[in-house]
Amino acid sequence: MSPDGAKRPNRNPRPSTFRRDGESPDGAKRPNRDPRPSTFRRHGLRALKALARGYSLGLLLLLWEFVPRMGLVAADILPPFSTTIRNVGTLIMEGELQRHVALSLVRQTAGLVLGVVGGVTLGVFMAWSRGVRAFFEPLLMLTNPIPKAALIPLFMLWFGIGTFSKVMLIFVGTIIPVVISSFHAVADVSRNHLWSARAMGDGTTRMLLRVVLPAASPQVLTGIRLGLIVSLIVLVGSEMLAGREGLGWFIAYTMETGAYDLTYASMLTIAVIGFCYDRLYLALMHRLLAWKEEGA
Amino acid sequence: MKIVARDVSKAFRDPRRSVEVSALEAMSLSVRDREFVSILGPSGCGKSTFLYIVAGFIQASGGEVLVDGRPVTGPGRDRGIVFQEYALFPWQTVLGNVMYGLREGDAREREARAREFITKVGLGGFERHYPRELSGGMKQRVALARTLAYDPDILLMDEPFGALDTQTRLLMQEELLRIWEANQKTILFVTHSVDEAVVLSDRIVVMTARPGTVKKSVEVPFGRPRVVEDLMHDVAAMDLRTDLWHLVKAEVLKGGPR
Ligand SMILES: Nc1ncnc2c1ncn2[C@@H]1O[C@H](COP(=O)(O)OP(=O)(O)O)[C@@H](O)[C@H]1O
Ligand SMILES: [Mg+2]
Repeated sequence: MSPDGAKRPNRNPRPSTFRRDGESPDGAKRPNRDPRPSTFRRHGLRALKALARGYSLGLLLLLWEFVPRMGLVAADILPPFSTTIRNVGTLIMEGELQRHVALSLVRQTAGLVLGVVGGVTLGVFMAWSRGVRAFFEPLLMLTNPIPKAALIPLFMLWFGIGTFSKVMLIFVGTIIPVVISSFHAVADVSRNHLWSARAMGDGTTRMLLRVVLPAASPQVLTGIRLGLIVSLIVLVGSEMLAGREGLGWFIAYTMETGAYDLTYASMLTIAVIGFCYDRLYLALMHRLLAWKEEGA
Repeated sequence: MKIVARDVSKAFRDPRRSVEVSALEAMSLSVRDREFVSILGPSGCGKSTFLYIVAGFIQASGGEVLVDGRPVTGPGRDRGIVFQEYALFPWQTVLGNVMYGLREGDAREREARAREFITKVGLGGFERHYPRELSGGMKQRVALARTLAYDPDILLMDEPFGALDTQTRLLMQEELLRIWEANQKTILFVTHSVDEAVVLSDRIVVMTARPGTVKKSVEVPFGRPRVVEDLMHDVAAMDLRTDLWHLVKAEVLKGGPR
């Protein structure tokens, strides 16, 4: 620790997704009244940029629509986009899709919540206790690089093919990035913040809740985002391999039965869910970390 | 005596060289109730270390510190701290920061008290701002308000204006004098600036180079209330500054080439 602990630069990397257009990447303070364009123009500009960013996607969808329509690929191998959308609609009407989506989301949420709670707790203990750190660090270093999908067969062996097995897998997949980020974040909390809290009479619990966790939140939330992505991967992977319910299973089932049009429909569903999930999470992060952002 | 330090020593283990670094050695110092004492010394001589021991953040390797006659065993609400930098909670607004240390009364009363102190340090209107939106001087005003608001008997200040530009620094010194003269707390103020020590203190304790101990304790003869500008050109003040500079310079040079 440096003698004054004060001049240490802020080591929290700002997640790049926080950077809105025109913001300086280093988070440097802008001069007070910088000449930004008016709100109206800024929104217009942003919409245009979003459109520009989206246009490759539009091109892809156009190809998806017209390649099978023009007969370049057989329509049962690649049904057009509009047909796929219609199939999603049909599946929803039949109530089939929701059932699998709901079950998958329940499994994913359960595993994620366990992983986050366990990960943050363990991260705090690792940062605060040498003994706990010495015990868990090698385990983490060993398990972190293992692609979590490779654990699917093992978990099937240990916990069966039901929901419990999948929740455990998601738990393991999410707890690792969350532990690592929380551990570093908590260990990095500025000494002056901790001492200020102590000087004002804080006990450990109040200091943990009101100083340590808020100070660590930017890194922890980024770790959770990684866990979120891992959770979706291992969830769908494990459902595809075993069981008879869930979105992953549904994809595998449509493949096996040759109902490729439904394979596309379910894959589109997963893609949209994953995208929305990530966007929602980012919006939440934005709110929680508003204190850290510029120009608020 | 409000604070009594007897033969305080502190050795840090240097992890890279596995040797002990002696930061303080037999440092003794007494501070009267409502006295403003500055600790002056070259950087690295153990000023912060001593202050943190009085605050109860770190433990002395030897000796003892008494506050109101009771040995210090840890931090306490009787001793408020103001650091040089990075002590405000950036996730809380100015109001949230100043309310943090308040325990008495319901939320409304605590907010009213916090607002009162925010106004007192000249930041009325900035209650809802976050620290990143404030200049360095404003941040230190908030830090001061946060500590004053919960009314500790003793203020421990570790180069609180050390990171500010000269003008802001002078303004903050005036501000501190004004506040201190109004509600007379016991202040232990660490600085490496001779000028600052002369302007603010009742007494200046000059420290030796590391391992730090008291080299000399110098009374500052100027009355109160003080005006910072008046002391700039006062002959007695200039003499005092020169004397102090000679004392400090000898210690700076001991630390090796700069
Ligand atoms: N936590 C620590 N571990 C090791 N050495 C330290 C630690 N804190 C301070 N020191 C050393 O003790 C000496 C005094 O430091 P400090 O009290 O910060 O000096 P000052 O505040 O007067 O500049 C310095 O040589 C510093 O390197
Ligand atoms: Mg210091």
